[in-house]
Amino acid sequence: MSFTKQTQTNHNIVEIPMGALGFTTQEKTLLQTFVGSCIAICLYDPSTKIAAMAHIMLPKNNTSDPDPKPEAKFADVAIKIMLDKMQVNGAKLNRLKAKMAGGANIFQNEGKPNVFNIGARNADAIKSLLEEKKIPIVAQDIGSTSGRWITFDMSSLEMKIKDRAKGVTVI
Amino acid sequence: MQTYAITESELEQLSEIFNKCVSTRTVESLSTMLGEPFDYKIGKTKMLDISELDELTPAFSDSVDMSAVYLKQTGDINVGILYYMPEKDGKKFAAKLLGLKKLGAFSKLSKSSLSETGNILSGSFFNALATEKHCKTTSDIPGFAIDTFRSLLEIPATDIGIETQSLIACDAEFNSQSDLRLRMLIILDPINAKKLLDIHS
Repeated sequence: MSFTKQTQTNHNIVEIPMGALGFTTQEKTLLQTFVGSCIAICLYDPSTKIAAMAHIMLPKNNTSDPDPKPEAKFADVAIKIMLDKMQVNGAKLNRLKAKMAGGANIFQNEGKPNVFNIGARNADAIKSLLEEKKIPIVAQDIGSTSGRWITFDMSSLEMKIKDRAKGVTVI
Repeated sequence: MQTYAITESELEQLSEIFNKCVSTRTVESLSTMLGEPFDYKIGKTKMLDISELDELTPAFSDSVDMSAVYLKQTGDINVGILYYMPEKDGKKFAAKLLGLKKLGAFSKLSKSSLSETGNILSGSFFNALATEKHCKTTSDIPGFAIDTFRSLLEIPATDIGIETQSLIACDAEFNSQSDLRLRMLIILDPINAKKLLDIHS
């Protein structure tokens, strides 16, 4: 398997850069990002076919700025913006579901495996935030030791994960 | 938002400090360890947001796997260093360290040898950084990884940039006559960059 991103010849992909977030549109139904220790969180409303994906780097906004840029750098800010924008566009909070992947522990340390555990901390922060909003995480692929390409397809509601160690999985 | 401003002049001063430390200690340590002379060149010191890591990755595609060692020095100053090279070069490097002609796959010993190299190089670099300046630091355990460069970068970026979301980064490249190649990415946050400038003023 070539460890490269989704090779679509059409232009229906929204690319999500590091710390950013994106939304599906009628024309662009795929959301895609690459994560190592960061987390790709995807929220979607199956009824209205509205989905959002964020590339989250850190658990909590520790700045004095309530609107830090890019918008999805911090989990708490990213989830709030995703929910606000999705609801403005017709999504209902009680219908939302979540899928997430990433949080790899890339560097292995002899006898001290979790010294760089930012991935796990990000995942815990996202789980707490979604639990508060009663949004179920219906599938996840967290941990591992490799970076991954993540693609969410709004039409099938599937998240495809390309991991250099595990190959391709669909959740 | 609180900003941590570093001027162009300060970035140039940081480049000079890093250049001095690399040229006086790191190159010498590397040459001694591998038993052959190394040349080096050091890039400009840049300041960037942690979400702008792609600025550090122009030379590599996402299909090239890198072997890498990351370690962080903490204490009076916190600095992270990421050593990296294409996986095949990492195997050449490890083979030379272990006295082998060729290395098929990374073994526990070969990974350990590269991690230890990172440890030694960082030790020499930080010794130079702190020389006669009463700057006390201790080194964390090095971590070893094989992955794409972009994936490797996320950990040091978030580890170092968690407080300020900004990074000061400087890349050095080492080359030997037998074509051993290694790159060293020095990263710190602006707060620690200011401390380093104060110590060296």
